[in-house]
Amino acid sequence: MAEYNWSALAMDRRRFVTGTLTASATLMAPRFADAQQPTTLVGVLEEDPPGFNSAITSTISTFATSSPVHQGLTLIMADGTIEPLLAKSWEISPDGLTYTFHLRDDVMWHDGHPFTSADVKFSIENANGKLHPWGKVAYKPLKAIETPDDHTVIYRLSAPSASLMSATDRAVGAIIPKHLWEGKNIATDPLNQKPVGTGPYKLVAYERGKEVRYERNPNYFIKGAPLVDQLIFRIMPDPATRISALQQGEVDMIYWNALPQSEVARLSRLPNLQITKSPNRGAAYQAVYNLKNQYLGNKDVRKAFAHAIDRKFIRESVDGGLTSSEQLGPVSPASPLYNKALKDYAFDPALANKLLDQAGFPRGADGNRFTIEIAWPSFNVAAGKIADIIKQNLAAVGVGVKLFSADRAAMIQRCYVGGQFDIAIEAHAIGPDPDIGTERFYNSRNIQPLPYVNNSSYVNAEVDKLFDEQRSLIDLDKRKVVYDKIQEIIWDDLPIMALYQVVFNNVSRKQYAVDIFEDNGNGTWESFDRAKIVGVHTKA
Amino acid sequence: MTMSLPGLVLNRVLLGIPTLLIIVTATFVLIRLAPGDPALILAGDAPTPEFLAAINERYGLDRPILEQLLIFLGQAIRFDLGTSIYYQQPVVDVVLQRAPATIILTASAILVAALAGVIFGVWAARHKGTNIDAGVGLASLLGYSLPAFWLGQLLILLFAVQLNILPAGGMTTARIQLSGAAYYLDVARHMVLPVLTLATFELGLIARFTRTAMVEALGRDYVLVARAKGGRMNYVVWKHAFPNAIVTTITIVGLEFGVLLGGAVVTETVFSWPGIGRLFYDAILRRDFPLLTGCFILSSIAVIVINLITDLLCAILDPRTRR
Repeated sequence: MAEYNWSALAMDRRRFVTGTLTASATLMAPRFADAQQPTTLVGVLEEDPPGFNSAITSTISTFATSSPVHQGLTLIMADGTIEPLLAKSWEISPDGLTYTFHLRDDVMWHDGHPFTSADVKFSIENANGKLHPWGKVAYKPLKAIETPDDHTVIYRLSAPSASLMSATDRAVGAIIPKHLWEGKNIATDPLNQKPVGTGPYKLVAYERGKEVRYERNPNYFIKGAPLVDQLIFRIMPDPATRISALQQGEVDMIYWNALPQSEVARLSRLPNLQITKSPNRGAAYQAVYNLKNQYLGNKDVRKAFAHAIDRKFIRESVDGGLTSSEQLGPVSPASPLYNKALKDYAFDPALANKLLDQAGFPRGADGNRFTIEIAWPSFNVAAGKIADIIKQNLAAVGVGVKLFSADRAAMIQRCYVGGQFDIAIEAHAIGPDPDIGTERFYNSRNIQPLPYVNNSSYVNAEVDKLFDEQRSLIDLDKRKVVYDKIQEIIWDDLPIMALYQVVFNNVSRKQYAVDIFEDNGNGTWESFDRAKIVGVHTKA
Repeated sequence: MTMSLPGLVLNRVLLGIPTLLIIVTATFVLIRLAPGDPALILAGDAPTPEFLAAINERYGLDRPILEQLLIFLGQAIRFDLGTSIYYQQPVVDVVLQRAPATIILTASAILVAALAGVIFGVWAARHKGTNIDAGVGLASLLGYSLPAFWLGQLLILLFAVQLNILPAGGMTTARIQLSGAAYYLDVARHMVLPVLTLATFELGLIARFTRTAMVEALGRDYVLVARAKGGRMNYVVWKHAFPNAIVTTITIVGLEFGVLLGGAVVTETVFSWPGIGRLFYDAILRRDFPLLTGCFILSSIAVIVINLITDLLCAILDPRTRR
């Protein structure tokens, strides 16, 4: 059995918690002495969450609001390493077919019930593996879940899975209590609004349109944590107002999805604020080509577009260039599986013109070759800017562009369900592993009238085969060889043009709110048990 | 034919019922004609068919639209407006939780706007053709034309960010839990800027209408008679001309209050005010059919009630309108 040595990490964690506790206690002693008010961190949400159950959805506002409450077996750190959380250790059998998790025995649900292996089995079988859009992919190889005792869970797989461990974090593998959920319809039960978890904070009040309020869980299993007494997420739909509230001191932290990224440069110059860049595994702007379109179905046309579209300019001009990094191909550059050997298509309108001529689409008398439509969801300002730039780029090579924008509901219906689109521009969540977040766009199994799957209708039998092949390769190096090949083929076929990888900028009050964004690589609030307050509260 | 006051109330209530039925049916059908599926919005990325099926079954979205309408009407008679798809909570609860915030905001704004608007309108009418009249006219036009989101942001930048004397948004201070008088004072502080934003818009409108009505009233024979009898100008204006002009103002205030109740979207958004306006807007974006229909019905009821009150007030002040 390949066994991981977690004792060293655990030691680090203990030292970390003890150290921060001592430091914080020293710093906060006078505050506690003369103030009755509990210590509070105030964050901002851009909308009401549809619910608080991240075991069934990847919706960002739900992820953010359930983050203080729900936890997974593990915690994925910013650098991609996996730390124990509800599971204190685990072993994976050499054949990669059996995962044995040893659960902590000191964990209680917020309502006082003990957390056991039955909760894990119930959650994965009924929520994460069945309803969660990423979970249904990640947990697919799971054949059976056994619970030999209250604190042991065994996952039995039908085939080895390279991405299973990355789904044990709460982003995909949040555990919910069996004793409350059994017999209920998990997709729609009102219990989704009243989460009971194992996390550092309990949800105590939610006023729609106003705020979500959490208080520290006094029975939290990491002793001494959390450090801050209460958390409040204010619901502020207007981006400019969020920034004003931050500058005024009403708000301490704004996570990337609520932070207008075009403001990042300005905010970074204010003395009392700090910008945290999250590792960019989260999302990428992509131009999805509909290969059923008579022009875009032609690979030479797609190659010509790759030379015609100035992706460097897009990267550097949309949101001031602070939010983007280069991405070639379908995989995030932050992933260890990213193929660094891919060659970029040079921005070369002359070459694009030549390729379009060769492809059999010469310019007509009016200088136009053909016309296509670019669609994007109207709330997404960056996507609108990108569409404008691409329109100009394509005009230069004789391709006309009509722009179409609608609210998300109408866009999903028309473009993805109805298949009526030529190019769709959106930021796509990539998830903690390319298997979970990327494959869905390229595997021909996922050609379905649903949003955010293989809406290009891209079919490549070799790619399908390679996706299946790499999943069983637990050795990262071996898996990377296969993934490199996948990326080469897709970057050559170009069913989707990767535009850039979003770098998530979060902002928080310097000297006040510390260590709140760093884990998981989703860029979203994650580990509130480490959030701490140092120094005094100041205006930005 | 002149109606008695109770007769007038009965007449308006009876008219309100078919109005409401038409509103409900039209809303129900129109919303469903718009492209977009609430289940897809709720389910997020790459939804599983199981999730979609569960939502569609739970909310009856898989049934024919006529059947959905009949079920809805049957429930609505018992004041059950169904369950919000996005929030997964009863629509009545969701809307009623947000209604007080909107009512308190718009009522304060309309009160401020009506008082100030009447004063400015009468002032301008009394000084018709002078610089005062022109000044009030220009200010009214400006107030009426300023976009609420722009004015709101400007007020926030000035009073919240620069001067730091008023909060930038929300209804209460989050960091501190207050109770009693301190709580109400806190809410009042949070109301200043949004009320100012809403009132500026309405003030312009009310001032202009009041001015026009007053100018007309001041030119009437009975005013001339009152003046000729030696009545002091202030007395004549407020005792003789104003009661006749106020009917117009009340009608406008009533109409605008209804408009504000249903449409304070921008102001509520800019100031993160937890009212119905933003709920309405989000319900549209999310295609939350039951919530949207519920919002429409409740704001329609509010408009019908306000119209009734307006009619009654006008009828009391001017019996000629009881027809």
